[in-house]
Amino acid sequence: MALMDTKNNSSRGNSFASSEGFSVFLRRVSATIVILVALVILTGWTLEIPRLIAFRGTWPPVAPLTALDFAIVGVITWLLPSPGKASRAGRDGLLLALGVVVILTSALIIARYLLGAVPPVDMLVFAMTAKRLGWEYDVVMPPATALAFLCTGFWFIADFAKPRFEILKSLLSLFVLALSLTIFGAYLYGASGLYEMPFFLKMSGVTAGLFTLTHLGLLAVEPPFGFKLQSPRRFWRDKNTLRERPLYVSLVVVFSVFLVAGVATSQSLNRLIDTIQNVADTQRHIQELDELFMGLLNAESGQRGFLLTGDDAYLEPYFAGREQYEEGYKGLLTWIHNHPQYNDAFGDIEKTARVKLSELGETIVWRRANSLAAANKVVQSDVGRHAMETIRHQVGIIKDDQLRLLTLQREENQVQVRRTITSITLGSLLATVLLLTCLNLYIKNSLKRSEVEDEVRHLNSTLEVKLHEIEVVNRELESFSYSVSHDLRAPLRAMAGFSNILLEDYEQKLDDDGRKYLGRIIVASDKMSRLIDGILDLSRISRRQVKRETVNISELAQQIIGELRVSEPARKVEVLIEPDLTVLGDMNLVGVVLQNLLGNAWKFTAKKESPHITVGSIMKENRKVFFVRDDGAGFDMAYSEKLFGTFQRLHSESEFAGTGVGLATVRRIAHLHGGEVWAEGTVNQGATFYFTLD
Amino acid sequence: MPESLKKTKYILLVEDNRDDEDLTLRALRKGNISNEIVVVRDGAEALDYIYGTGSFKGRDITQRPQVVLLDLKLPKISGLEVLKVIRETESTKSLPVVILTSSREEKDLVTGYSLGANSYICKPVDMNQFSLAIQQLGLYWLVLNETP
Repeated sequence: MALMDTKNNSSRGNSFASSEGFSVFLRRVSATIVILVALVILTGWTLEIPRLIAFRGTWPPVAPLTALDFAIVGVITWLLPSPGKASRAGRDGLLLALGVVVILTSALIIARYLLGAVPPVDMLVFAMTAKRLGWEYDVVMPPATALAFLCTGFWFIADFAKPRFEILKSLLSLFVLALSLTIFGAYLYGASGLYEMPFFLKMSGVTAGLFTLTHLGLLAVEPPFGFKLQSPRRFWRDKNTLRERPLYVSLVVVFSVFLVAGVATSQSLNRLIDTIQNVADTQRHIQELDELFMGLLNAESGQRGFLLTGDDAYLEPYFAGREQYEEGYKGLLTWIHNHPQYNDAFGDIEKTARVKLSELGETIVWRRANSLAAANKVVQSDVGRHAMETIRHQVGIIKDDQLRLLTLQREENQVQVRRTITSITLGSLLATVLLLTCLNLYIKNSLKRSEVEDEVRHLNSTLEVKLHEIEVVNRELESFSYSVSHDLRAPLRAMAGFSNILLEDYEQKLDDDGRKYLGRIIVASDKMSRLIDGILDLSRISRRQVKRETVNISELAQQIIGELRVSEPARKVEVLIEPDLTVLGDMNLVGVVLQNLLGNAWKFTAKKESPHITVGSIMKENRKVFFVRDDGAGFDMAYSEKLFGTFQRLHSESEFAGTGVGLATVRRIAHLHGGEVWAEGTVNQGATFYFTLD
Repeated sequence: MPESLKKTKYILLVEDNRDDEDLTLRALRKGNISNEIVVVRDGAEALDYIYGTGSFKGRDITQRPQVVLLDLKLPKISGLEVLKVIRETESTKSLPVVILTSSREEKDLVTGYSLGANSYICKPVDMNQFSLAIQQLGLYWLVLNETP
């Protein structure tokens, strides 16, 4: 992790690929939902089930063409090739054609709204269904829906011209999302004004929801404004995300709180509006009751004035009073109808009032025909007053009731006002605090990230310096071994060469001892030459890159044994090689391993009567272990670790010749392959050398 | 004198190590090769000799050696650089050059051949093998091989 490059390295690339897989999965889930909902709506149209077309009674129905287009859009979204995957000509052609269908149908609808001449295609089939289901009008795709479909269609067309239109695609998606989310939110919050009023936005809640789903699915995969979602399980398992978790969790919390607070506030506001309406209604009813009674009073006093004076001017308040009564009565009628507890009282009022009013009318007619004195008699009589008392009493009962209700409703209203204010204040405060927390987390996160990135950069630069140092050391080592190869050999050649010359040219002048000593100089030089070769081979192998391929160990061993037999045809060694042993390794290096091990086995069995050499394999801890076994000189297990050290030998030169580099080379090669080598042996019983190469 | 030299086939030995020089010369003599061996001791001297410059100014450069035996590790100018100059100069492009060196480095081998060496011989430490190699070399280039 610490050394991870800040750019996309391979491991980051892998996790990207898998998050891509999850994004594609999300896109397909959204496409599937869209297709299913579209099919449900179409089923509703075919079987004439209104609930499947509008979903909720208050929502506008979804047009059949809208449902059809959604089915097509869902299919295209499902089949869209994942980014970076090769496209297939056949499928691409089909998708392109479907995209064009979406564009054409929505363009037709827009043309209808602009020009007015184009008939709604789908209503040609479903007009009767719509009528039977009780919609008075043609159910036509609204302009906002048509526009969103047009954008979606162009999104698909742009997708075939990738990658030039990435930004266009993102913008189209963001536009449709903004439109559909606004409308969907309006339905969700019950903000009726927003979705009922403007003709342009007359989109069904279902349609808005489907557009939101579709474009969230499209954006889930598409850069550059798209979001890449990681599979939650992978996210949770990935320890690298530990630092980011609080941020994501708080983002989810903030989102939920906003949603809940929004719904709560809108409900609280709706309740507040209800309580205000209740108060107003009650006040109106009280007023109407007053008017009813006042109307009667006015009519009566007008009648009396007329009766006493005979002046027509008094008839004006009489008629006005009658009208006032009628208005109050009409205003109360529906309300009383819905409140049966007042039925009796109101019926009483009405009956008495009608009697009273007809009596008033009769007396006026009668006054016109008769004298003032008769009129006075009527006025002074008790009949009218008794009726008015009854009405006043009944009105008073209802009014008192209503006044009590009004007090309660006012209290309720006050409570609701306080509640709404609390809800709004708390909601916005909470949102602010949460947003600030999020911001804080985000800033901390990015600070921490830049710190980590700095650290990574620092480590990388340190690593680079170290790598450079290693390179320098390697180069020095190389020039060192080059010098060894050149300069150590020359003096050796001189020693051996001139000793040889001495032996040849001055043979007569030397005695036996002198000649023997010169011989030993020559042998020693030769040995040192071989040692130098061994060291050079070893350093060459260490610097080598391992090129892995399938190596047939059995064949290689067979070949090497063949060469050994040719070099010493007199020896009779029984060799057993397990057939078809293969390993993934560097052909040349594996050859060197076998040459050394088989060479050793051959060498150390030289003093045996009828020696055996076996090449085979065993399984150990799920790893394939190869071995070379002989029944030769063997070795003491106490020294088994010394076997593999450079220039380490367990036998004297006079017993068995050798430089002590061979097994060090074998171990170096095994390590280069990521393998191991070890040995088992018993003195004079033989030795087994095991090695693994992967 | 130039007339008599004209017919002489000789070897140019570029070798800075006196011991190796002596051993080489002895091996050639032992192999009954009596041709002249011109010895130069570093890369610069070798180029001076071949192109008649420096201390070899005025040498008749049409008198070309039958073969150049070239060590790689040389003072002043390395053997590979000498080889490069020889191959890049029009007049000496076809001059036979045999690399005679102690180095068994793969890199030297590859570079030597890619620069146009005619042979690459690794000097053995064993005197018998060394003598054999030098004698065969002399025999091949002085007797068997034809130069343009």
